[in-house]
Amino acid sequence: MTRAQNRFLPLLLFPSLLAIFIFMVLPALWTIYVSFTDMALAGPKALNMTFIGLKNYVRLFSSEDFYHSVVLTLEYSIFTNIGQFVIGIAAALLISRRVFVGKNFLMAVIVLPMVIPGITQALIWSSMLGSQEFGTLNRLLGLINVAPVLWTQAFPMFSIVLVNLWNNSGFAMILFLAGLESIPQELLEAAQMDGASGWQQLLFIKLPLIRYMVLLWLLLNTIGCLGMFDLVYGLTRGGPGNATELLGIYVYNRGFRFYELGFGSAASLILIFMSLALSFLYLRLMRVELD
Amino acid sequence: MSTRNSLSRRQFLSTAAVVGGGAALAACAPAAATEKAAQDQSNTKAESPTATPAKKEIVHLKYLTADRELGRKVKEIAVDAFNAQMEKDGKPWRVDSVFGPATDNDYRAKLTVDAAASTIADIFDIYQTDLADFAAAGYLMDLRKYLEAWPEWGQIYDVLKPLGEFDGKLVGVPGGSTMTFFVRKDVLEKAGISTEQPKTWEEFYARCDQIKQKTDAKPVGIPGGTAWGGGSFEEGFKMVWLSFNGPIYDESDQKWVVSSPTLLKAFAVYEKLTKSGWLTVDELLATNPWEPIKYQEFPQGKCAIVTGGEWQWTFDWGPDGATPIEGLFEKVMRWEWPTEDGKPFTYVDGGVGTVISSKTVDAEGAFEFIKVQTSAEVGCKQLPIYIGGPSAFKDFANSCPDYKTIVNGKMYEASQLFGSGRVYSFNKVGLEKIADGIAKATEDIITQKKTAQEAMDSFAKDMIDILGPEKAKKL
Repeated sequence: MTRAQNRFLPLLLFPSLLAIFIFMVLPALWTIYVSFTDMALAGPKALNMTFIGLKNYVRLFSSEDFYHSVVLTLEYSIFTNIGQFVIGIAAALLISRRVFVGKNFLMAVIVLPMVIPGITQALIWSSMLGSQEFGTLNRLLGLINVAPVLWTQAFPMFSIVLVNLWNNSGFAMILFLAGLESIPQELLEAAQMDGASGWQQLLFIKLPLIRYMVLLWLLLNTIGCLGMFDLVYGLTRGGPGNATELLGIYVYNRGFRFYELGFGSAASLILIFMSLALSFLYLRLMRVELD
Repeated sequence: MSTRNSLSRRQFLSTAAVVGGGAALAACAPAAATEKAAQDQSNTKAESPTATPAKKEIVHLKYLTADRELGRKVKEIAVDAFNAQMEKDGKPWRVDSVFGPATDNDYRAKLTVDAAASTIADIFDIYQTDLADFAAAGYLMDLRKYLEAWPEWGQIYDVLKPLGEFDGKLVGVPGGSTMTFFVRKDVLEKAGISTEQPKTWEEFYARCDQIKQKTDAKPVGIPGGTAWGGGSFEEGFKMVWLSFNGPIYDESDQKWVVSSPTLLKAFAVYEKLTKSGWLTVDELLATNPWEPIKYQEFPQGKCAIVTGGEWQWTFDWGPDGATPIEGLFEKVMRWEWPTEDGKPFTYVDGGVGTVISSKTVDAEGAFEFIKVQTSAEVGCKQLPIYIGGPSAFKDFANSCPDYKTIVNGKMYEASQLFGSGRVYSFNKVGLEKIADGIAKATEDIITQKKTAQEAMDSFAKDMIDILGPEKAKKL
């Protein structure tokens, strides 16, 4: 790099750094500060917020509703990760086969939902899972004389996991496919010559060789699941009752429905720490894998 | 890495200073321009004897409402009438409609965020549950001096006036409706069950039992649980609570009473209805519980009793409503709320629909709009399109004779009840949280996870925790 270029570099960097500082660092610092106050969006505390120390955190950790949301969020993350992994790896294996007919169609079907905005997907699925005979799924069940099911009421967690599988399995498939395509063909051919069956190839060659991709997907997907909001808000709004009140919905409800911005900020920080903890764990595992 | 290629601290700071200085200059330029414009404007105002801008520059005021089809049509009538009137009178104000989300929760979230960010419209529609919190936060303009000087103010039913007040501020023109049970008279008569007003809860229970024994209908769908949101409190619990004549909010120390013998009795009503199998529990746990209860089962005669106000005659079961009931006025009748002392009551509910932001660009113009919006002339034009409740003005029928007969006279009848009905102003800080707590407590009861006593204990603990001991107490 020349001296002139060297002088020009900070000029190019500065706007981005300034934007990151203003739009990311400052709000994050502000959120941390607000979490130690009783700041509200309405009511008297909107005018006079006070510093209350750890009170919000104490209240949070003694709240049954909060623990309920944490458990739901973990359940949701586990179910969606398992489901997406199964669908993603199956689709990737099918598509990676050279002679698979309908390869492009399957790829399009799985990837298409990714381009639809989350809230629109939620509205589509609330029509699909509609109660009584109005829902599409119930109409289909009606064709085989099965009584209508109140999907989001009787199976709330299943409903939101199902929508997430439909929405995000494409992402898993793309990553796994990239991993599978990068496996040297000679390895698989050698295994075949040694008499390895399809399952053995999958379990002992393919999966171990794409484990880095799997961990990367797991990291990104878990972060996405922990912070999930739009799909669930659009579909159930956290209901019925608080059966699908994931942490993202919990934070929103506290902050914007009950105006408790300080308390909502504290809950959001816990959510961030959960994401960070899991991210560090995954990164550690990935580093081990790379090493 | 060579030092030549790296960015020295000195270089970084000098560049940052240059760019930062440039940014500051750029930011200051429009700010200075705005400041000057504001100064000019304030000078103009100061020279003028009234708040009307001297140069008759048009002042545009924004009016925010939820984007619902019928609501939109009636709002447009008011806005068009106002703009035409202002043009005719040579006044400088014009109102532009702005539409927010159609659903309650999303609209409320928008209002709150806009208000907190000081970007809220000059005039906006508000929910009653938010009124106290918005007023306490200083988001609403106190209109007392305007309203009390307005001749029409004397025509508003006195009973409704406190519903527009919070902490000494009068924040808008109140409206009202009456809340009662709505009963499928035809279903009861067919089964030989008395349709007479039950005076006590015991009589009400007896009627529910007969409905269960003698008909295929589910006896009662009182809102409860979290899925109905604020409606569990607004359309159900608060009247049940009032029916036991106990303290709800202690004005002397400004605290909500979150545990008391009367509150326990109110919770016990839900427990009794649930355990006896009279309540539409499954429906109350559905995502939108009003749909199976009010739009399906009640119109089909499969649920005999629901709660609500006058809007149900039009929006829910009227010819253009969600699920029209043929022969509505012959098939459906109303019961007042039974009480412990055998003196049933009609609850006069109400509040302020439209308010003015404390940050409005022109308070006088915004109030002028409120006057036009609530005028008999506009009300008369809106009548054929949408009428969700009785008029708050005593003389409305004189200016608009159709009012006496529209919706089979039900709206006029309701306004005649304003004088005799029971009123309680729930405009207190924390109402939204109380309503949420009640929704949770009633859900615990109807799902039989908790008894009435356990639900009240949890409710009290939660409320003292959330509102703080300075805003909630046990008796």
